[in-house]
Amino acid sequence: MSSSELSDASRPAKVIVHFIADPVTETFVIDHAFSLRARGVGAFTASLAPGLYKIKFRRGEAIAETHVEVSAGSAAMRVEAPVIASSSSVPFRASGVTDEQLLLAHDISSGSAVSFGRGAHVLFFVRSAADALGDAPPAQGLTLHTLDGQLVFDLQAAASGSAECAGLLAELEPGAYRLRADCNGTLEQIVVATKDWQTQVFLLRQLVNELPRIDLRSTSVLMSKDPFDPSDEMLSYAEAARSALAGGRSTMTKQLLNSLIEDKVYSPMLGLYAAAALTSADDERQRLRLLDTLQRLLPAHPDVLALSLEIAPAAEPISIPPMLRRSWQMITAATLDDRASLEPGSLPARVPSTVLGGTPWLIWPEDALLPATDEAADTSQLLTDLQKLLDQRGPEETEDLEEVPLTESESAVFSYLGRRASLQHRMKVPSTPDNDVNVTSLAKAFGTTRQDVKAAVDGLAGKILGATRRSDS
Amino acid sequence: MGAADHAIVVGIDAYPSLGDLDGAVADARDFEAWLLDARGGNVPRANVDLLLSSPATPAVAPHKARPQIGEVNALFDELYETGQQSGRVGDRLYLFFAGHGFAKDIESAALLMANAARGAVAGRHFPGRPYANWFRQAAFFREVVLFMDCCRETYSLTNLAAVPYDMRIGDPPGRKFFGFATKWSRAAREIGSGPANQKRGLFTLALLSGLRGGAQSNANGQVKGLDLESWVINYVRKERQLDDDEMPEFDYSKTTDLMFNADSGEPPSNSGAAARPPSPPGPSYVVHARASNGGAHLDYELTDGAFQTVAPQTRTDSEWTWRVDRPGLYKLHRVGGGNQILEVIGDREVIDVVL
Repeated sequence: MSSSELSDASRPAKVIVHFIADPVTETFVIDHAFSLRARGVGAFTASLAPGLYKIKFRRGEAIAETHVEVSAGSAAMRVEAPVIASSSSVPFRASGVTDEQLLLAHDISSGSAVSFGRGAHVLFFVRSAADALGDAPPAQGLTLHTLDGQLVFDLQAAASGSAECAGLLAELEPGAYRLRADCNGTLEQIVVATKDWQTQVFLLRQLVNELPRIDLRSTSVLMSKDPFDPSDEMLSYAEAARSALAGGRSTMTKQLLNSLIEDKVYSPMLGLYAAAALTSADDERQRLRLLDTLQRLLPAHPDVLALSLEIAPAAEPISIPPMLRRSWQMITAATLDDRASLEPGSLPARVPSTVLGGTPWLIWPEDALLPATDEAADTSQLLTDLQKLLDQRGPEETEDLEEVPLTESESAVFSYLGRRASLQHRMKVPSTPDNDVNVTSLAKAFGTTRQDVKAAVDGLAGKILGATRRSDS
Repeated sequence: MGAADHAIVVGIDAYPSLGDLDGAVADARDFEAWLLDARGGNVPRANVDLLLSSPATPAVAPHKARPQIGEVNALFDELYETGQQSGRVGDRLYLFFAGHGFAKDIESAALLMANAARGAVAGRHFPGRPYANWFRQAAFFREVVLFMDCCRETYSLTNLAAVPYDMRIGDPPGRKFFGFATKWSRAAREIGSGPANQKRGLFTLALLSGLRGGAQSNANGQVKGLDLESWVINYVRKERQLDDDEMPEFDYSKTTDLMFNADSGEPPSNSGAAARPPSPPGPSYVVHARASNGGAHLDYELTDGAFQTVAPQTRTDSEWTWRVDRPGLYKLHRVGGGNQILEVIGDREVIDVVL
């Protein structure tokens, strides 16, 4: 007889089990038939029928598992999460770093800053993973630039350290900077220096596609009022939240979220990660309260401005890209709904759709930045010409165009236009302004900016219309 | 459930430029078999489209390898045209894709077509999730089920193809159950399976094992999506000690969960299946225990999750075996020694324990 067939009277009494974990650890309680029986974040209590259970703990992207036996007649039980080892660019004790790295990160963070400006401090600390040691100095290929591309410093030249780690505490003018890394091509991401805070940027040199490179995807960014302290649990929570955000999740207890909202803990990056991941309608009230706190803490931060677009349209054109890709998606969506615009010729107006995946950060290849185009130039006629061409030729008559070398963006737009033309042709849908594509509808379809679509259409028109004119003549 | 369901199943092994896979075609065929099974999806044969790669032939130029994107697009366009004319195509749409793939981010997963190559991905991939979501939002189906057993490596500089259909919001939008072999940026894994050690996608193996009796089911043989997810996660975790970002990922509403497998009272959809055959037994396993110190005259006890003792199948002074006909958690107790809780799940029939 299975347990489900027992009458209520004969069913053994359930046992109270207390699960103990930190506020960013999720716990899953799985029964003997591999069905999920309970889950929770941080410490929680579950009432479980006697039996065998598998307990899974998840912190960031790291997992630990254990099995427990809940015996009939047991007094309340206690199950504590183990220390969950996770990989991180931050030199925490649990992430397999050496004492030398820990000490150097702390010493540089608490030492004198090298001045490149005034008002904001940023710690840059890079270490080599064991598999990338000895290849090159850890900070080789890392440079910081202003938004218009002027070099602020070369980290290898400015940093102090050893063969396995190097760091620099830089004093900068408050604002946003481009962190550039040579990673089989040049990649860039934004770092924001904020007045009265020490922004701490941790990077890892590790094997990327089997070659030792600075891996910007795993960059960790923390903010603190104090020098770096590897035992600071808030930094550890922020790092777990960043890792969870990479997986599109937000995991923290309501108590911790409320502490962030009430500004009881000084961890704005933890707040940013949480706000970026709280996307469901259920989270709206807490998201808005958290945003209110972040607006007070970091009023000019580009990611806070991006999150604010949910509440009100942008007061001014956006001229600084955010740090997080989620923030960039919010900005992109707002520009397509005319709740925001991108400053013509600014860096955000040049961010390509070909940004790096597999990371919470907005990272783009420097050589893929869109040209600073004339915003007033009308692309609609080129788009109309392309659609006319596809309408006239039909999908089977574009084989001569297959050899035209197109960029990924151009090719994606061309395929899209071709399929629409083919469908409309087959379904005998007349071409009208309502069902013709335009720059905005294309940008919405591809989830990118109008500027990106305009660049693709411009390129496509030059190549395709040019090729057809040549072949027609 | 079943008679008004539709399915598109694609499996690609032959990739002249990217390197061949071994199990994607077998996975697609096996999923199709479950779809057609009167105890499984119970989908009419006429509503199932199966698209497979043919064995690689060196004479075929890589860029001409098939299937190509146009063949997959045509299957979806057909559903689109039907829906545009009638407003509804069917009850449930099953989408299954196995092969190489990529993901730009957590929201995207695409199957690479046979003619794809590194640096030549545009127009040679099919983004499963955006299409599944389009058919859901248009309410052309009440439910859309998407399974993608594809690698989801990050081809960072690739634009995902966009769905070219006009936006259409149906009321209510279809419910969803999406399952992906891995989260983004990790390669899906194939494993050797069965007596012939045939290569199979681990995700599909776990999925079908759960649907065919492994996962917790109700009295009518139906499996809730929540239990299917839990089964697949535990199965894969048992086979491979993966980090969370390498584990399968599911996306569905826990409050409006979908059910899988035909209700046992439902008539078969396919002709020729005059009577519903009895449900097959789920996977069974052999637990094999021996002493860590090689000691003799051992005494063991194996109990199931409800603490019922399982009778041993064989026993000697140094080794014991039990056959268990249900996957699950079991406790092995060595009299005078220790205990160990065992996870009896996965593709390997024999579970070896040293205690």
